Amino acid sequence: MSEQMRVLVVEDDCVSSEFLSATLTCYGYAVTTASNGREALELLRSGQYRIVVSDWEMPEMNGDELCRQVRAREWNAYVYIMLVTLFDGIDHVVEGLRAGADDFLSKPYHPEELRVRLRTAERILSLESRDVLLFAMAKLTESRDNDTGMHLDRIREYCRILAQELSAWPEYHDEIDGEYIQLLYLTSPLHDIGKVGIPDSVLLKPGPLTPEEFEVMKQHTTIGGETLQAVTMAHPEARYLSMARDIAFTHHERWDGSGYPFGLREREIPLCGRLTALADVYDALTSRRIYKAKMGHAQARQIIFDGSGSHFDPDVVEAFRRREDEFTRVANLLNASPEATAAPLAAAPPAVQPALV
Amino acid sequence: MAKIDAANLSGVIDLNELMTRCLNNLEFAERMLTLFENRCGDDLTELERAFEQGDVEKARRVSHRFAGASANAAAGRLHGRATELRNDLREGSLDAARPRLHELRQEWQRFTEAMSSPPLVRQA
Ligand SMILES: [Fe+2]
Repeated sequence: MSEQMRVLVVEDDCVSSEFLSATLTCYGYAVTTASNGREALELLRSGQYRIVVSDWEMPEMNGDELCRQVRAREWNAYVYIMLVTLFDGIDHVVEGLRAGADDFLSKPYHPEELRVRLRTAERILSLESRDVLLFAMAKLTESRDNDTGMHLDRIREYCRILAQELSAWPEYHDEIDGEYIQLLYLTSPLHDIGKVGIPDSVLLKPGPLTPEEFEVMKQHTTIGGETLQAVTMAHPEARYLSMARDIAFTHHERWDGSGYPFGLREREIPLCGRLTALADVYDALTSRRIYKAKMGHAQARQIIFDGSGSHFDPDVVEAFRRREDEFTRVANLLNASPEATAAPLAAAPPAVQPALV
Repeated sequence: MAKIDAANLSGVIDLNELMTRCLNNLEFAERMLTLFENRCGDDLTELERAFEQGDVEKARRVSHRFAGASANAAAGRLHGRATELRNDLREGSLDAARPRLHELRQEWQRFTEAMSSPPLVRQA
């Protein structure tokens, strides 16, 4: 544990309380004790405790009532509650779950069991903070996107479809597992997070970009990648951060090495970047933007196929070919239904299509 | 502080279990036994008072707490007696539960005697 996790122990029996406190302290937790639910609730108001280990039966306020009170308050951070009952009190389980308890421990518990269950609690709490963090970052990205629609939702769906297809191929079996797909789903919406650092004059320009402006625009990959790299350094164990970083850096790289910012080629480009690249381009082509109408699926798929081996990883293009029905379904469902004809709104096509940047 | 003497305590405390529960830390185990002895002595007094006062709810609550503490201290027989007493009290009758209180008291006697008897002198 990088920082001691605080645990609130709620027990009216001092023997059990001491057992719990001493054991938890030994396992590296910072323990505070309360002798009943009311006292616990008061301490919880401080927002310092994310994990509560509480006895079921106590004077003044029972464990299940404590759960209900905590859940009713909707504090900012989730409080994980483990209820402790005597072994023969296991019929309390349903009641406790209904009251909002997360886990149960029966007395007398084995210390190792307590440790394992608390690890689970910590993992769940860290997942929660991970998802909150990613959601906040994705929202930030969205705030700088001139398409306020469901671009990010579509991107993550397209990425999921492609990754799911490849996961069934023997050569990707070891690289893509369920967790990979889940992480890609969570992190792909952050691909353009670096756009927060691009000036409005370039980012929101409706017309074509000049070569100088295009150079500025390209920096969104390094701005995003470097920002996420700094966060990754602080939390090297968090795989989702390194994946988010790789996607931000490499979603504009091209298979033949002609992309940016590094000019990586083929498998030098992380798989998550290769997947996001196709998803991003397909979505840009099939979405309406200020400066262009949306393109039909047939036309978009042709551009993707033509880019196989030059712009895109041929395997990813093949995955797309096998799952294109799902792409159109997502596009329809999430409001980017490709139209049969492409009628550019602008009189002349822009020199560089901002949507593809 | 209670000094753990395996020969004396066998039969009232499962020492292996207690040591496991105390992370094999002797000092921790001794501290727990002392705490347990003091706390449950007080609980027993409170329990008897509740019986005298005819307070079933209080008697049930204290017996429940006693059961929890004895389970934690690996005092299997005390735990058994306290649980029986609590179960009987759930029926709501102090009179019916009185024999259980007596049994708990006897078991407690055995426990305190084991705790207070001098450690056996082992011959070299
Ligand atoms: Fe981009």
